Amino acid sequence: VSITHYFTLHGIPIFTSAETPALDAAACELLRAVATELRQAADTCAGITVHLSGGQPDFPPPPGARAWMVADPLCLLTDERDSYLLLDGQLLGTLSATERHITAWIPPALVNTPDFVGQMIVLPLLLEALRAYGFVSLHAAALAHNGRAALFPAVSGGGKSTLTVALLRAGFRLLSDDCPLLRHTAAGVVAHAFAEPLHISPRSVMFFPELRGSLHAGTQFAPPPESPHEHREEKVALDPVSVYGECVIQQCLPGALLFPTISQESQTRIEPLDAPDALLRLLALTMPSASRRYLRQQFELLGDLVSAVPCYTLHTGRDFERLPEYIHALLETEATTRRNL
Amino acid sequence: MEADERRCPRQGTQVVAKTVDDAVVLLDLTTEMYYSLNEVGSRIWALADGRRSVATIVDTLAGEFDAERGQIREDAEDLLSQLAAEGLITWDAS
Repeated sequence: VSITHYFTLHGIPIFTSAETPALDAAACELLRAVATELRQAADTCAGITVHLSGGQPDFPPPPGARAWMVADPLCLLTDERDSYLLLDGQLLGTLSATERHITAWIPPALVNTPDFVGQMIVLPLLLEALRAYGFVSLHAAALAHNGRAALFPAVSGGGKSTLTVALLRAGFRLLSDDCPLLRHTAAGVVAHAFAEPLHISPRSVMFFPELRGSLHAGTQFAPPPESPHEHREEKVALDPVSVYGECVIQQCLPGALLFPTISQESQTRIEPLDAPDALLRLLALTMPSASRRYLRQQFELLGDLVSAVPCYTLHTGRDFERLPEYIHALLETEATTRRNL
Repeated sequence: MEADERRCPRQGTQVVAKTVDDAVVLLDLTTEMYYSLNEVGSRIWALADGRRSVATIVDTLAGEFDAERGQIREDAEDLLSQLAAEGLITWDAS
């Protein structure tokens, strides 16, 4: 028996099926946040299918498969046709790139951690599957104001979620706090929403009083107890809409690219960054791909992005509350410059 | 050195180049390594088509940049050696 759901993400049908209610919850946890659920069947032939099983794969990863992404405890391999996701060396998922079909085998210990399953197993394979539709995910926070988006590329723990909250509470609109999707369109490179729950550290919550009431049991994003990766900073998953209302915007033209660092200075500094340097930094922060064709596509797209928007380093000082004002001014300047060209 | 000047550098077929401002950024699709070339390096990359010899490339650069030919040759040979060591160019006979 399979429990099924239909979603659409930027026009792409996504079909999920799961063998038990708990697996169904895990299959839908991520998709309910980032996609729109449909009441009736969509055209699954043109879309992505995701199946969650409680069993185990009856085959090992092919010998000689090439690792295309290693981010301990995750490892993704490819045999140049399909991708294989390993967590702590155990095969837990596959992506058939040609059929755009994801299969995940969820061990009993992970069944009741839907956020973990969504983030660590479904998400990497889904982002790779989305490349077939021209989407490239960027490890960045992305927020929009007056029709222009500021992108903040940074590693995990680089302050993306804290920046996101600081701007959301000032009225900015959310595209994503961790991996907006970029795609070439007739208007140039456009940032698209991928509005997962915000994963924010309890320490950061202390700066934003409105978030304290949103914390509740069951939202902890942490590895299961038997995982050896206990050093991962425990974060809390927050639904941005429940705190800031209908704050998600589906797509927006990028207006500025800012690489954030946390400085100990009293004042925030924003310094221009050369486009080639920005491109090299972006490339280091972008998920690789199993496919050389998609790597090339990603390289072209990011090159076009840094050529189209001004790039900066953002040294956030202790005047954190003024950040929305600074970013707003940057986006307005960019929009004025563009109008005058 | 003259023997080297007769050889023709050719861009690797596995390398993708993207021009950004005055610089070129290279992606080696096999190793997934990235490289950034400055303005002169970008020009050398553009001229490394497998038909132009090092001597021809140096002559071209000497006509475009305000520097002494000996210095240009030294810089071009240094860069081409590095590009070859990284597998980004191959050498064709003239």
